[in-house]
Amino acid sequence: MFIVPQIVRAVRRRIVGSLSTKLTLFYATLIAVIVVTTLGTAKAGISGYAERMIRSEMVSGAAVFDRVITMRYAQLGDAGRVLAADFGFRTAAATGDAPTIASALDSLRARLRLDEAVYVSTAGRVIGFRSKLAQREATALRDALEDGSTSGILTIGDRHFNATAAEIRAPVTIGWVVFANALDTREIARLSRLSAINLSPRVVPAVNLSPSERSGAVVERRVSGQDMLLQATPLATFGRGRPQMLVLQYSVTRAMGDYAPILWLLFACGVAGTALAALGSWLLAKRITRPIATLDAAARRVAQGEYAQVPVTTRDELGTLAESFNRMVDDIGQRERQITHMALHDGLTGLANRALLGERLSALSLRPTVGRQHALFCLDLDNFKVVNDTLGHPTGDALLCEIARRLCDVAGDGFVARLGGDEFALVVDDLRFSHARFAHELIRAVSAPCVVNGHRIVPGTSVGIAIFGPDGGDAMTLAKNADLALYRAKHEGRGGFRFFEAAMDAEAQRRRQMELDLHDAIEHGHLFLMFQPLFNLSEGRISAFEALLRWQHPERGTIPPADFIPLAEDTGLIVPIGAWVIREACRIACDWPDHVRIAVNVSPVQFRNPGLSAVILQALAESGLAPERLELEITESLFIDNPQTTLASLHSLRNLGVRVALDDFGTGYSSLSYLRSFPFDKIKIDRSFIIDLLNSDGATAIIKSITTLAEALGMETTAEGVENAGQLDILRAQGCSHIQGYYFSKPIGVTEITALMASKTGDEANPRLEPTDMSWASSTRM
Amino acid sequence: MAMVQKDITFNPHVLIVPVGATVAFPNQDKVRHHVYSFSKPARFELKLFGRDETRSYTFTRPGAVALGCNIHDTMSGFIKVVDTPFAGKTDAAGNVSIPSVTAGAATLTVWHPRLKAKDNEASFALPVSAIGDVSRQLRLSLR
Repeated sequence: MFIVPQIVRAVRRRIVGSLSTKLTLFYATLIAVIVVTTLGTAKAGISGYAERMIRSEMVSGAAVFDRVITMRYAQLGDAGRVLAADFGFRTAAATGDAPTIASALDSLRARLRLDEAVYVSTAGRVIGFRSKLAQREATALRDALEDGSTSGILTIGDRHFNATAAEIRAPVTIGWVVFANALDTREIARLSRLSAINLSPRVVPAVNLSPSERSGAVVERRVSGQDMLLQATPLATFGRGRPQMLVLQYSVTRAMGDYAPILWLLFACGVAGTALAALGSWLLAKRITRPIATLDAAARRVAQGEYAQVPVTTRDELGTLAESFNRMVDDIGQRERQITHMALHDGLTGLANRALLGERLSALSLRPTVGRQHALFCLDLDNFKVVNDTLGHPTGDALLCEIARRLCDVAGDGFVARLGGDEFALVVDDLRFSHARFAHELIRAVSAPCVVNGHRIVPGTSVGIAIFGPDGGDAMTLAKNADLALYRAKHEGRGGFRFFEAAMDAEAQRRRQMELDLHDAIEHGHLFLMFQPLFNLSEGRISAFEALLRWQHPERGTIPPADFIPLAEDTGLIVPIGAWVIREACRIACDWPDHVRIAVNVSPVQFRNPGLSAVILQALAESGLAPERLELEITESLFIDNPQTTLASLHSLRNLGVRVALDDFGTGYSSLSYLRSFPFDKIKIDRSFIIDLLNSDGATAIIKSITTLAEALGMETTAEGVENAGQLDILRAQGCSHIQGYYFSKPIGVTEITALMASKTGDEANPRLEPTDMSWASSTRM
Repeated sequence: MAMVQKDITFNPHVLIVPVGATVAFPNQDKVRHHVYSFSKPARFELKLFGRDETRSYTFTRPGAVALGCNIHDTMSGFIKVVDTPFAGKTDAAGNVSIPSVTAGAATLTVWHPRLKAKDNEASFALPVSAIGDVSRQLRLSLR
């Protein structure tokens, strides 16, 4: 029940809103207005013409009637005068010979076809009147004749006559001959036949007419629903009778009625014309709107992403519009293809991008191939960053293009994509080569030396491989697993390849979980510090403690630093963790005697973080620890990547007043040059030298040279990992100033520090020999 | 006494004669005349076709006789036949004097061709004294 009004509304909107309807309505209305105007004008014109015609006919009719009546009077008068002059008739009249008079009148009336022929004597005797005549009327007639009336309307009773009189003289007047014709319906009919239209002449007493009608002008009257034109002309009256007027009238309404067929014909023509115009404009509009509707339909299809063209059939504006539309659709299609290409391809190399790779892998998962095995190869370039940094980005880009070209050559009909940066991926089946063989080919092709922008470059790469199916059925899993394999391949040395193994995934999962747990560990206080004392041999007392980070996992127990520190460095968590270590160490150390320092390891990632100085200042301010009691231990690896920056950072740290020690001296890229460029406060000799002390004479010589060098540069030396008295003896003999190791003390908790310091102070000659915990070897200092 | 037709006119226009008088009708015109009278005192026709031809008629009854010519409609003349010696014709102003009327009660009758009265006559009683004249002024209406 609610649908019907909606349908009606929709239909109305569709009909009223359409161009064809608008055009049709417009032209139909226009023609209709023209028709109505024409009809109105025609009607007014016809009406005016008819009225003028009637008026003119009336005037001329009145004139004709007047002329005719005058003529009748003249004829009657002549006849009367002839009779009146006849000697015989005069003799009869003079002698009162009534039979003779009557017979003479009869014969004359018959001959002249008169209605009445009468003799009236001066005495008032009337002879020859054919109907009854009252005495009064006879006297009135005589009086009129005596008054000299000769012609006019004679009214006797209710009858009107045209009457003329002729005097009979013998020679004195003895009577009159009166000839009269009845003014009856017959006579009126005869009169009305004289005019072209029936003016309905009638004789009316003047007193019955209104003054305007009596004026003689043509007047309009409304009589019984009809418009009449009316004209009254005075008639001569015989004697003193009541004045009579001849009234002519004609119905304008009836005259217009005569024109009604013409008007109806005009109206019918108008209606037909309007219908024709409506039909014509509707057809025309349809011709115009049909191509528009076609365009509309095509535009909708284009909007839905289809390709649509409109046939061009005409050469008018619509044809031009259709052509423009077709051109526009082509242009849009071309731009869409460009945009799609840009969205799915790498702008630099023209290879597919990660999105297209995803689509390709999804497509593979949708239609598995029989007898072939597809694999995803992920690879990146070794040291590409160095190429970019040293040779510039244009050269780096050119190298990427060269690599892309090589990959395409190797891939054959395989699929090559650039995932971003120096990462590439290939999807290849094993029809041509086995996957391992292909990996070899890939590495060989990429590793061939090349000259780019005039620079000779030897690229290197590692490859991770995930087999479609066993190693993942969907794009995301496959890509992740290939990445894991690549990670492992790089980890195992460059220039190799690895297939994905399920263990890799488990390892990755474990790392991920540990990363999450480590994040929580900071907040939940699962991290804590252990402290290992450093013993000053010359003073014979503890000079410092090295803070060592420990993680007490709520489920997995104590986790070795070697398991989580690299992870923290990889993920950047080392920055907040390191800051916490510095603050915690300072807080604890401030309770110690003034000569006891606190040593904290600073990781390279932490060192390069610009916030380090602020963290140190804040920790010192919070704890109130003197800056010189804080000793930062850094490793030699800092000098490898960017020596200049490292030196600047070291100087700024030194300016804070803190001490800086070089940790693990003798491992890695040891160079004496940076000992010269920065005045370290202390050198910590790596444990590998200490272990060899009792077995190799060379080791002793190295220790000797280090301590000599340090002494010459004004630096203290600390020997790490001292485990027995033999080592201690040699170290002391070679001039080492401090020792650290299980021989003296393993790392201890905060609560044990006070007791340890009490027992060790002043007991330098005979340090307590604690059993060595061999798990030391597996602990990594921080 | 004579009623002459001259210049297509009766002359005199009015002629008074006593009963029994014979009146001559001489035609002094070159044209013919056909004198007639339809008046009761004397009905006659005189065909006077010749020049200087004369006919006569004797009026035996008193009354007014209207004369016409059947040839010339415009000709009109009157002969008043009276049965008394005391009669006279007025001048153009309407004055007349009748002498030697016997004293006593008399009737005065006035006739005029167009007098509005029966037979164009009006009568009045008129006492006539023995000595002296009687003067009377009358007002009459004409056609």
